[in-house]
Amino acid sequence: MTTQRLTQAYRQTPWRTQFQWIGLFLLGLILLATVAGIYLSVSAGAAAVGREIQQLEYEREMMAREIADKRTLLAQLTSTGQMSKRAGELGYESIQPGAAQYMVIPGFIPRQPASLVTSSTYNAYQSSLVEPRYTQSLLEWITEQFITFQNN
Amino acid sequence: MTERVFTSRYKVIGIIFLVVGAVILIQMFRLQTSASAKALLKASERYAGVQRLVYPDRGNIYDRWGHLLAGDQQVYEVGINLQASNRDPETLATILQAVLNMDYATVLEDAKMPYVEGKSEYIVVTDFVSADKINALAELKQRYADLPAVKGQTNPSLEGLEWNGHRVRNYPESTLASNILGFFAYGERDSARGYFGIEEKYNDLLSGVPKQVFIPSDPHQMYDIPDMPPGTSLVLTIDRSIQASVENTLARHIKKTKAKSATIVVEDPETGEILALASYPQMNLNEYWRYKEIYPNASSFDRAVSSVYEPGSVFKVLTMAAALDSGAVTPDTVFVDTGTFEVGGYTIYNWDSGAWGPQTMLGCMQHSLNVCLSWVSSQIGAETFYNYLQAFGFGRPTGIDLAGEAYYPLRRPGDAQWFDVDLATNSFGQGIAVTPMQMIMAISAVANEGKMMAPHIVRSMVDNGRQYDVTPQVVGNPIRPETALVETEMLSTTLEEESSVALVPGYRLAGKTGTAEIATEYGYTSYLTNASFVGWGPVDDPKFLVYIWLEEPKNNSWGSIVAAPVFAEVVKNLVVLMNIPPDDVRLQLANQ
Repeated sequence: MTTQRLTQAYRQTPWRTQFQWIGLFLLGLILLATVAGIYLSVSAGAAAVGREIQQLEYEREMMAREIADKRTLLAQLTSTGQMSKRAGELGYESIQPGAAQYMVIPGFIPRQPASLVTSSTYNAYQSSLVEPRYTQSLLEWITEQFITFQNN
Repeated sequence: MTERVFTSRYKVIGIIFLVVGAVILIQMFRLQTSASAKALLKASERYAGVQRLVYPDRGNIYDRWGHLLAGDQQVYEVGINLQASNRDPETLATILQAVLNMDYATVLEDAKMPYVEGKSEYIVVTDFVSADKINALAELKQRYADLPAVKGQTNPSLEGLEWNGHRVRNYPESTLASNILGFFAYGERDSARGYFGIEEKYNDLLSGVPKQVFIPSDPHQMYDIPDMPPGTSLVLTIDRSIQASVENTLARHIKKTKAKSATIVVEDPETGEILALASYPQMNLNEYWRYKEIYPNASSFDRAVSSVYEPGSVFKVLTMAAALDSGAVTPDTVFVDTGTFEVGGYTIYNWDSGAWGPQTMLGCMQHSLNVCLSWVSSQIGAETFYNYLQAFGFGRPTGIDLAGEAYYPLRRPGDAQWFDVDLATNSFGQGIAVTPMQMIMAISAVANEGKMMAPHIVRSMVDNGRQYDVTPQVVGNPIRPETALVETEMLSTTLEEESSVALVPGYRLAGKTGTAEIATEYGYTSYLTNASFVGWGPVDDPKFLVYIWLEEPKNNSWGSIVAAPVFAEVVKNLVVLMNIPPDDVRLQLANQ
């Protein structure tokens, strides 16, 4: 009897229990919606950045082509044929070999053969821009960690 | 009773759900593992992205001072996007006909092609269009797009017209050094490669290593187009100015002598670096597809390395070198020239069929006496003579870094094709076939105090931001330094004493002419000759070695008349372009 009374005293009313269940369900729903919203936001951002990277890569490729094109154009404009034509138009004449006189100019430094290397170009193509953490799956990451752990 | 009925109904419903669930699971498993599913999966992979073979940019080619000789130019592929909703085939055909000079009917047919997803989405109408034409198309496309819409009227449109840039090989100097460079046949697109010269020899290095890349369609997926280094760039040993000067001289003398072809090679005998190499005919490398019209035989692209010929008396330089080095003769050895020399049942005559009487070796070389040199070779002895020729590099390629190098096997005593008379005829450069490059390499030993240098044309390679210089290689010491100096002195004196047209005021030079009869099906003919000249200087410190070969000159058949002036002209320009002071100034500077 006493037990029954105690149970009755602490038992929730049915409507209260229902509200609690509904509340819990709604909480779960909100959590789910929040996670879905975050996921959507992140993946949409990643997609936008991905497209941007593609665009930038395309632009870089295009610019590299244009640089090569301009370099070739410059070489065409300064080619031996063009230069002698321009010199002729400016009134210059080719010197007759016998008419050339050798002059000693103190301090004259003769030109040096071409060096086409700049320090910035060395190792420019060594590494990938995208680190593995951005491309590997969870399983691949775990495997990698496992192998690293084993090797250590 | 009611409770039992409910229980049994629940059980039935439960069993039905279980069975349906199990059937669904089984069906799912079946679908997943069926052949169709595998095919579907494979098909879906096709749309997941594309496998693209990414080619690195082809390496450039420069002359020794860094002037670009082969680079890249941007051109465009023009196509029609068949998915474009507002496609106007008639306008597309009209504009492409007007701007790109294309056939109206063909373009119209292409432009009318229906869009079929996955099958017919984009059609290429032309390729290799220049930037100015593309600019004209872009302007027209924009102008049509800006036309105000009029109700009930369709505006003309270039909707769907697209273009994509890509690289093609370009040679800014057009014909300059064409025999050296070869060409890259870019029209073959993915299977394109270099042909002839440097482009073929170094094709793999210039091309770099292509990489297979998977590009996903899904933009969420991360992918990385590898940042590929371009192919190796090459810096050649040639000097653009010297090359141009040599080519001008070549063209002038081809016209003057009406020779069938001609070749000039200029080398630095101390290093083996080729400073210029020109062979007639030449071609505009930017129109490489015409090469078959210009060179019916592949060997005529670069005669300096791909054509063998009987060099004639220039070969006497090597016979005399062997004789002096082996001790068979000295410069003062006297030979009484009776005008004939009998060997192996044949009689050898001089170029003028005359008898020149007592002659020192200097006189033999000065008058280019075949009879004397035949005697000299007999004094050397066949075995020793051919050992020297082998040491000079004959019978094998020089290894120069140009494609298509030819060589003719050296016939030696004991070979089925060798006869006693060959020793005599070989001594004056007949009955033996060589390339100009082999002659250059062999004679570099005489000009360079006995050290024979490997001829080469690449000075350095630029790869991944680093420049690697090619080290000059000594490929042999066929003669002693003293022999080389003595012979250089002899050949300098002979030029001076005969007041050769090869002489250049202010510079002491050594050299030798050569005139070789050409073998025809009726035997050797004196009216068809190969005229040659080899010379180097300044004799006390040689900076250049020049080899000239005129094939079948028409105005005169003698090397001393047609080839020697070419040498003089080349050298007169060389000393200016290479900043070589006249001997008196140089010695004065050295003594300061």
